Amino acid sequence: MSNIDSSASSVGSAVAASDHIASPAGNHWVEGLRRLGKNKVATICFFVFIIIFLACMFAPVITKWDYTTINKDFQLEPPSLNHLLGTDNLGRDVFSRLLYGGRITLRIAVTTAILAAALGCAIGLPAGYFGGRLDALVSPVLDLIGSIPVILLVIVTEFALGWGRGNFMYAMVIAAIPQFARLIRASVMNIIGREYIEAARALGVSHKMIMLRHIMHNIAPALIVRFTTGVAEALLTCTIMGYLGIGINPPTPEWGYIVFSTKSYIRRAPHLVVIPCVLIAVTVISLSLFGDGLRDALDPRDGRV
Amino acid sequence: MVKYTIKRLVMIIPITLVVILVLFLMLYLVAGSSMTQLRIYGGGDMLDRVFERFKASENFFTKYIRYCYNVIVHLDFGRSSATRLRLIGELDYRVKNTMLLLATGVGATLLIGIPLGVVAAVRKNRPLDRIINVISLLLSAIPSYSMAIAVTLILAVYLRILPVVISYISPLAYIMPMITLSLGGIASIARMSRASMIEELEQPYITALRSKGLRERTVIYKHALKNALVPVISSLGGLIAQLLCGTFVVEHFFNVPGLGSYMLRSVGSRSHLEILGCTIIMTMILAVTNVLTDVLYSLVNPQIKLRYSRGSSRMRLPPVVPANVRKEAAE
Repeated sequence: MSNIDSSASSVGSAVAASDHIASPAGNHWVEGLRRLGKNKVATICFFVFIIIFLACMFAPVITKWDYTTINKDFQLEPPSLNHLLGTDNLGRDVFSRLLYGGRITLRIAVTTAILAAALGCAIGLPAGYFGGRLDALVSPVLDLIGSIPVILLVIVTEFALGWGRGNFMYAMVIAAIPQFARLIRASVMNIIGREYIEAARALGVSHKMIMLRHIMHNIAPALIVRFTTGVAEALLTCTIMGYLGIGINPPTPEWGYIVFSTKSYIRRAPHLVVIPCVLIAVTVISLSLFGDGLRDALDPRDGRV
Repeated sequence: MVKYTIKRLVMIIPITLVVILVLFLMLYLVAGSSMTQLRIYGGGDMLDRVFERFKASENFFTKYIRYCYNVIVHLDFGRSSATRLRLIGELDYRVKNTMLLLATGVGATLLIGIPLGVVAAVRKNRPLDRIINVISLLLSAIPSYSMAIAVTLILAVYLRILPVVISYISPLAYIMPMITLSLGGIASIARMSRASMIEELEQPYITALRSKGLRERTVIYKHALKNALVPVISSLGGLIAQLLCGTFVVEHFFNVPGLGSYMLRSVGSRSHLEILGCTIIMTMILAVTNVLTDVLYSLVNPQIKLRYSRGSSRMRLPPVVPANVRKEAAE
């Protein structure tokens, strides 16, 4: 027994040593980031998103106006130095409503994507790795949930479980899981037959370690790219639900709800509708272009860059 | 092939039963009904009579089985809690509108989106491709309600081609909802068919056809397009789900009497039977269109046709590692 043990450990150390020489840790990530930096569009989009994100998160520092204060003397004011983007039909400052609304929208979108990615990994990894009965059980369920329109799923879940931001987010997560889980399952199946997985198995590495170390490292680029698209999709869904008045309760500003509440005033004050719409579009476009750039940078198969 | 289609269509019935069961469980276990309110605030003889009238005291499974029986055998979705009219009349009227929107949406998406994608792919990186790319990126990033506002402003307010508000008796009223619904789908299909066409044009067989001296038009439209359409067709199910999402917003915005707007209204008034009915019908639409998509896909993709004709309905995955090896590895 001790004989086997020692031989295994010596092989292990040999592997570690060769690993170290062949590819220093994190090398392809550095390489990917360098390629990403050369892609001007992706870099600009990344910074646009970060600026919007930070502005929303630091809303209390940036604006002095409260987003709920109603002022009947300042209805539908045009943009001025006092109110940067003017005021809405109730005299509330639009700029601060947009920033505070972005806090809600972006927080929901990012949290949804994080939770869906984590749960998608937890479901997709074992399903792809072990295959067989587990996969036969999981895949049809994923296909079924994935084929239901997001809005229908959210409405029914909200209706059954009750209104509230929490339930709203659970429903969005449930709707987003299948895409992550299916992607991960497919990528796992793609690399499961590779030699290094076989080698790891032959060395007696446990299933858990193979999944977490060898497989996760190799599907991480695909997962990151999917994550940025996932955030964009969740953001669009979130604003649509806000527009339809589902999930977020009125005094709280949400980008979609802001559009809904100001759309009747479009002839008198077009900026009230145009600015939130442009903001949503810019956020989504910057996320998806950044995702495209990431895919090009992290995917070494194309010799494009 | 026919056998496969029938098998898949029959499978819709158990799926519907499961969907109804899940909805019933959710509504029964979590959401309170108007009966719970009565039990709290009402009392006495009247309460008993109300319970008798609505058969509210029956247990869960009796209700479930009776509802399923009524829906599947008699197409009876119960009566509206507000008007006491049979729901099927209302649903029938509304499902036609939603189906009309969906059908024109799918049709317009395929007829406009695929050619746009193909043209962009053929002229890859030239000005026309850039323009199509930018427009489709914009269209897929703008939420559908903003698109609805823009379409109304352009067509009805500035150009004055269509009236802003119009009764849905007139066919003119459906034009703006249809346009709004199609735009998002066109963008995603154009992007998808562009990507798939570019991939196809890089295949070696295209080079072979070109070197054989075939005309460029024949190479593109007869050979490459046929293969490039396969992934587009497989994504039709997703497209229909996306358009169904769009109908909620479009119907809400333009006040189209369709399933989506009815469902949103029923959610507001907490009418269980209406929600149940709408959800069941939407699931049925999705299930049927998914079956049709799969059949269409297997018609255009010979690999799949071959697989089904041999009688195995599931893709066999290569064995990962034999069980005994796995056991040894675990030890």
